[in-house]
Amino acid sequence: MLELRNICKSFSGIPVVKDVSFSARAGEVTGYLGPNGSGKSTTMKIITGLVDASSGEVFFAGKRIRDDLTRYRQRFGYVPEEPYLYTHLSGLEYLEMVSQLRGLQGRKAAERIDSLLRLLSLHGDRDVPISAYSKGMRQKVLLAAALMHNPDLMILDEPFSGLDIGSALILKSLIQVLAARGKVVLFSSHELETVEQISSRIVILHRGRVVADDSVEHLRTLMSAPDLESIFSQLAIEQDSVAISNQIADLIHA
Amino acid sequence: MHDDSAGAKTQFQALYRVFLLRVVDLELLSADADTTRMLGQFAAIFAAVSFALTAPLIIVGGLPKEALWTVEHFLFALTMVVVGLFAVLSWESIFPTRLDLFVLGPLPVRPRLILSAKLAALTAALAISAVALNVFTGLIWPLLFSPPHSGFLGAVRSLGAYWLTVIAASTFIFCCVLSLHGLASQLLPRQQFLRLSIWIQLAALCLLLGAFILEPSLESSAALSAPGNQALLRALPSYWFLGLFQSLNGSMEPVFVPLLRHAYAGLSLAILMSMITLLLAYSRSLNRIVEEPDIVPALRSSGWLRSRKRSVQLPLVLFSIRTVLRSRQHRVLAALFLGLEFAIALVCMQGSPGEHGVLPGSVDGHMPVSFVIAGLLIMIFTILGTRFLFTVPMTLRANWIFRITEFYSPAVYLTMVRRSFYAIAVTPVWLLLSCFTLARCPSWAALAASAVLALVGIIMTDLCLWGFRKLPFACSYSPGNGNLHVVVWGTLFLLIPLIEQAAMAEGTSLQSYAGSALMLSSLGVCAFAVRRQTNRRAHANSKGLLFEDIREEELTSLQLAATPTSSSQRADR
Repeated sequence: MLELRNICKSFSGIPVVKDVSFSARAGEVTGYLGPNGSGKSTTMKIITGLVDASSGEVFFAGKRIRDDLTRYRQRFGYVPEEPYLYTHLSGLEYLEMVSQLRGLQGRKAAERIDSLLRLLSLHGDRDVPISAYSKGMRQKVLLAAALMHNPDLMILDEPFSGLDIGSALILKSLIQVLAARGKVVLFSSHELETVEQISSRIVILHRGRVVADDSVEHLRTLMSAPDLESIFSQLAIEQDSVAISNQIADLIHA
Repeated sequence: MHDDSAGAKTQFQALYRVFLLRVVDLELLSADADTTRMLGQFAAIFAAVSFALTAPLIIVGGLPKEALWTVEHFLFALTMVVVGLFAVLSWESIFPTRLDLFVLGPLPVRPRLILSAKLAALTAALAISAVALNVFTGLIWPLLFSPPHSGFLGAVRSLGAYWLTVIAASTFIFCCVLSLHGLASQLLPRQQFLRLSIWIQLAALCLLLGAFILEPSLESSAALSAPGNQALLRALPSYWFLGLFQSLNGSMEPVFVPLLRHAYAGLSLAILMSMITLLLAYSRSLNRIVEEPDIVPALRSSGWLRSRKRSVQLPLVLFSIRTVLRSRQHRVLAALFLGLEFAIALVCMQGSPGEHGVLPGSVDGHMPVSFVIAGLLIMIFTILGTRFLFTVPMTLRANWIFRITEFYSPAVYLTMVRRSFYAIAVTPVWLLLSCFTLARCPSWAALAASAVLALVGIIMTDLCLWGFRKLPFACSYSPGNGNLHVVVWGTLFLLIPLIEQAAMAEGTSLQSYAGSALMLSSLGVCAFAVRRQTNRRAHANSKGLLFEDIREEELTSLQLAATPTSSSQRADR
């Protein structure tokens, strides 16, 4: 189980994550939602150890991740929000580098990379530099890099970004399969319909604070809302979208 | 119509500012990077060179006419080589990048405006370097260059003539570089151009430096008028601008007439050629830049690398090699260092063989000790250059992959970086120089010299790794922190003389078996000791790798105030 306890984070004295606590269990898909600037990606980076929390602790399998960060790093796979990759390498070279950095060696690692590339429809472009890849292809490289070492914890920050419909369907199914095989899956997305379909549990963040942490069904009942979009609108959207659209249209017409 | 031109002017100003500020790639910089400080350091170095070239004037007072011609020629040649180097190094910025085109493409900005802004920004950057280089020399020396008894007006005319000549010489060399770039980009398919661009740059750098170092001194009436020298003078543009200066200065003599003609013809031709090739290149290249990736397609990875049993160190070594070979920015920096090393080798080899003696066994004195000096300098500068190259990041934001896979101890990472140094710097230089030495002087002394070179490479690598907590190309770059001026002056006045002395001692030791054995054993002990200390320091490092080049705090806050202090804010970051 992944557990966050009272996580706070400030940048230049400005708090962006405030006392965030929640847990993601093995065998479940936990959807992590929030509007832009709510602190989602910062929390994801704290969970990966890329950013230090100002206070609070992250636990995985009952242990503080800071106590043995190296061991923890070996157990998670991460797909970051933006597809930042070494674009001067080919897809194959990048995955080989990651596998070697992760200590995976030999024929087995090579076969696994080859199979991942085939399954993600990247095999034909494996020797092309990543600079020539589309956003969706880069996303697939990130996904392959996150999966190749069979992690216990999957941290997926906007994993559907840029994927075509077919690949998005595969990923949706993959997330559920991974959870069914006992992995902890935490993923964030702005596609509420997708989150609603595959998440067992939802955590909603607003202005750096957790405003909901429950199953979708329970939240629907609790808030008398027909779907996740309504729940999200009630909890995390303060603006009147129709009024703002009208204001924008008026502004550009003036 | 008026609105159109006002709009274009606003667009030009906005683009000009953006392109001028892009002299330094902001994507690479650390959050703490001080670009202004680095640029200030560059300007300070040039100004100091200018001052150093003016100081002898105070001591000497006056000079005879032909000695003044030598100074005039040297100053114009120096300006041309500096502007030429900068132009070659920055020629990638003549064309917009793919990002530029994606951002500017949807906007109502005409391509010719982008071209004008790019050219203006590049010209401004080159003009700043030319002005900084002549800031003292251009104000004081021209007063001495004025014709005798010409009075105050003569001095003013000389001042104007000097700066006009500097502008003309800089424009000529800049236009030559533009023409070369334009021609290459037109004649070659884009992917081939990207692949070969670095070699053309390297060749241009070597040509500029080689011409500057090797060009003969012909600044006398006899040499300038000798029929045997006319072909040479036609091929050396720095002399043309000496002729132009004499004409503008009012001190024209018949020997300068052909040079003046060459100056006008050369300048006109260079401007014309650069405009034609640039306009052609611009009209034909923009689509290709958008459609084709900037980086040369990867070659199919060789099977032997995959079939080998992989060591933990391999991924980083491969990553380093691939980055140097494929990143345009790193290749340009590598070319700069290679060009400087070429210049060093030329300077060392210029000395007569008898100056420092020859290696024992050298046939017909073909292997002077000055070559040993050049070899040592090349090895040391390659390692220092590689050290600098490693600190310039590649796609900085992609370094998260190294952060989340930081599984190993600092000592393991140290070995990875050391092997990267060996693969990129030490081994190629050692192989090249050893083969050359052994081919020209097949003797035990050449073998010993080659062993010395290898040991020096090992020692220098470990010295460069002293306290190095970064992975190659994966840490942000903080240019202002490097104290560039200290490095440059330290290298010129301390490191180079020191290496020269050491190389001469090596030359002496190589004259006997006993001396060679003593030197090799001393270097061996030294290499062992340095390696041991570097490893010990890495084992003691509890902070892990460094991915953000942040300056150490100079002040420690007591944090007495309730509000967050600067240090706590920094810790937050």
